[in-house]
Amino acid sequence: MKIVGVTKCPTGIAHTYMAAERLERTGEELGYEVKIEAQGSQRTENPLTMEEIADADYVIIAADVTIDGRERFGGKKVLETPIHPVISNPGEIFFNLEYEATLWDGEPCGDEQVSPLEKGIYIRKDKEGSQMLQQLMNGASHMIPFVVVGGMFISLSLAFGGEASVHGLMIPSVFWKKMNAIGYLAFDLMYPILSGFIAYSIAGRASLAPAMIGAAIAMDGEILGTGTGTGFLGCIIVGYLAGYLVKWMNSWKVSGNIRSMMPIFVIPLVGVGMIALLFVCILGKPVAIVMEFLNSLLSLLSAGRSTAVLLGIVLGAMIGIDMGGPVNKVAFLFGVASIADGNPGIMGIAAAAIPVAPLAVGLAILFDREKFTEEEQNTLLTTILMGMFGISEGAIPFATADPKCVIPSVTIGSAVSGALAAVFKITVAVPHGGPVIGALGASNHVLLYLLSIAAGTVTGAFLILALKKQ
Amino acid sequence: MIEKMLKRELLFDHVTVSSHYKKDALFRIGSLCADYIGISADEMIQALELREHLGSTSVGGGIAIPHARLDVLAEPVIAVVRFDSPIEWEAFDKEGVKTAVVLAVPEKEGYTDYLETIALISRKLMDEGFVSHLTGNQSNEELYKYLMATVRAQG
Repeated sequence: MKIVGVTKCPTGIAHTYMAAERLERTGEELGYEVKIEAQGSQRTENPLTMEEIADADYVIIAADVTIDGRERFGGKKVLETPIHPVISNPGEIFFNLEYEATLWDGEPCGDEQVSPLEKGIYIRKDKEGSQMLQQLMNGASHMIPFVVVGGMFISLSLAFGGEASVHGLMIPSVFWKKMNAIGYLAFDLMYPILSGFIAYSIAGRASLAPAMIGAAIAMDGEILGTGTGTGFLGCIIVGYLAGYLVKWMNSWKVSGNIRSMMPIFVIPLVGVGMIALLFVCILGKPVAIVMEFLNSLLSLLSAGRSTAVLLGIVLGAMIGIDMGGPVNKVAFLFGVASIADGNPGIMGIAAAAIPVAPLAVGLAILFDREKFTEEEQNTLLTTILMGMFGISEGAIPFATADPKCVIPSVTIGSAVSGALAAVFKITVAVPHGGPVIGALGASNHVLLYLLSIAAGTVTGAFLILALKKQ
Repeated sequence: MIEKMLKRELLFDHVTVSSHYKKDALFRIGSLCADYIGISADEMIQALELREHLGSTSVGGGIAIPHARLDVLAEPVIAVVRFDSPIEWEAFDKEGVKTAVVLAVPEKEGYTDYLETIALISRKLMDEGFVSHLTGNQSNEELYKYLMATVRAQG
């Protein structure tokens, strides 16, 4: 059995190491493979890698204060304990591991509220997808709150404060104008957050400055000399570059005096310098061109009616096929990216398709209870609620029970909703889906948006009932 | 590094305390160490008490590691204080503390090498052989040699 752990005490001078030593020794005596990260006051000894965490069967967190990097253990079985019992009776910790460890089903931080959306991302963190995808998801999940604020503030200020004039949509009221400006501020921030937390998941705190400042550079057409920024693509590249650059710099063998200066002085300066150089001189131009091409391709596809339908079908089907899994998340991220790039039609497609799977299952139960087990009938209310709130995962239990019937049905249903949303030119300004988004006023046309969802739901439910054996 | 941190003068044997209470023991530790280091004893005692409030520094087996961060300190210091009679230290194993390994570290950042030495000694405290040397009847001279040799061997 493989066990990883983290120790941290208030001063980070002595107990951190004593607890680490105790866990390592006791664990090895008991025949486990153990690695313990000791978070001292100045330096972390034996930092855990993402692979080690992914391979571990259990995680032991022995700490009297909050440890750094709790979010790394989403989806793991974790036992949390104060330091003292570890030092006094380490054997017991290991014996109780199996019974007392709780599954952190994706909650990145214990005391924070986590949206089901983030949960969806985190649940799959360790099971599916490569490490690169996990790092991307880490950046995306930290970015999402910023997209929500930006999208809501901008769409609300335009909806309530905007007036059509000869110069286009104007906002005469000071209040709505400021709210609009704040929304754009949030959009400006989300790029550095995306890059920053991709890098953070690779190389930790020291990589934040190179990644965040690097992202701001990548978004600044003037500094790049390209006229336009490099958009999401550029920021994702910056995140990975900064992360692996800092990871490499951290591996340098340097003497004591310089080592304490590395994270606050050397790494930020050299890191930002290198990222800036790379983007201004080499990468900026080509990435900006690719980004512009992608954007114009998307607007072109969503402009023509027949191409829009195709786009809607593909994206909708992607959302439906694995109900919150990696394929779903790729389509979803595509939508998130499009909001910020001023193309919220893509998010409109995703948002309309997201609730279809659980809603279709719910509707099917309502129509013909007999075709479902009693257990399945009992989950009717929660399934429909999950649909209403845009949580595709709600249909997973049904899909696992009868994949041949449920998966094709909800995929087709989701594709129908996606295609209709594309035809109706639905836009959604926040990175979330389901009828709840319509109720919040984040879509441009609530009735057509709900109609798109309803059509897909009915299609899906009908197919489920047709395919389902008694 | 250990040569700078661990001074023969900061190993104390047969130390008497006015009672078996931790508070008085900390007072004694502070007075003994501060004199030699050349800082205010009050400040050191206060800092040690503050840390004990966060939780007892007893590590079981008759050993405690009272420690503190002090902004008046120029360099990290280790001291070993061995008491004549056991001190009640709220230990989880209920055993009275006969040996205190005192760690004092400057407030400001840096000193990574020193802290690594302290981390090493902390890890060593989980080793029964090491602990029996600390609590045994060795003279200060013998203990000093043993500590030096142990840390050097690991470093």
